[in-house]
Amino acid sequence: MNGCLGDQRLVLTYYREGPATDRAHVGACLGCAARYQRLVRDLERIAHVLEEAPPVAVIRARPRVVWRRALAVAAALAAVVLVGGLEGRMWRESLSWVRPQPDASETEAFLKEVSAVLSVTGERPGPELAMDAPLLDPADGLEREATDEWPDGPRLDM
Amino acid sequence: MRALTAIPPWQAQYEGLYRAHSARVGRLCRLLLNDPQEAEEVAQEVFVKLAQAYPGADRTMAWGLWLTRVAVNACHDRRRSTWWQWRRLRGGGIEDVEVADRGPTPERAALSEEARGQIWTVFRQLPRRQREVFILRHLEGCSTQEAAEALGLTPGSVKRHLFRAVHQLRKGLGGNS
Repeated sequence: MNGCLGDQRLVLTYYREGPATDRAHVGACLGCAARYQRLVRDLERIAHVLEEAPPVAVIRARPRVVWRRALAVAAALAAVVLVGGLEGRMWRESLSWVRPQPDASETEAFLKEVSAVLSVTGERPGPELAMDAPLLDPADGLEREATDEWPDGPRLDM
Repeated sequence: MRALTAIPPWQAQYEGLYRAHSARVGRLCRLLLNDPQEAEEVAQEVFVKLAQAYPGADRTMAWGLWLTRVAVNACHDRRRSTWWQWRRLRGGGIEDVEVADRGPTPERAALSEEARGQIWTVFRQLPRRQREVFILRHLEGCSTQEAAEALGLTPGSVKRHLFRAVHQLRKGLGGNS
């Protein structure tokens, strides 16, 4: 039959929470009526069982739940401590990357190497070149370039 | 010679309330706490609170619902207490409980021991809210609105918890929808 009730609506009908149409449907539909009867029977059985004292086996099985919770909490705490420790260690290592310690001997060796290479190729060290170079007039330089470019210039004028 | 003092009228009413609700509150605490000894202690605490609140309170109040709400809160407090969790962990006193065999009632005969144990196991494994809603709505006969007020939930939430609890319990029973 169309419009058969789902499980939730059937349960709500049992507790008189659903609309009146659902109740009317349960009265008219054989399938839903059968499911409703099974629901009523099951809930009555459950109520009878819960009104009595629990079996001893169930009482004894309880501490396991507490153990499981305690283990879960301990595992979570251990994970937090582990992650925190790793994070702290990485942070300390990153500090040494950001601020490397100056090594004077390495710097000195590097400068000596550079000096040796420069002296082998015959070039004078940069600072000396800069100090010994004559001060040139920019205009003078241009004039000399012009004469070098047209060495026979005055002859053409003749 | 000392004159006899008359019992105040509120005390007689209090005793009437105790007689009417003590068994119900005791069962409610047993279902919420799972431990008969603890449940008995909490039920006594609930009636001590009633004795403290009753003399100056409105007599027309719905005391049954008040007792339910106080019992639920007292069980919450007891479950949260570290001492009780430690005691549960140690299992002190729980194994010593003797369960009286009341003989094969028709209901017991209809269900095997295994099925009963299965229902209890599923009931114990229900989330706290689902268990509370099922107890109040199905076993205590509270309306959805009363259960919602007692547990601090919305009526819609009560309906959802109730359906899930029924679904889980029926699965434990091996029932079909």
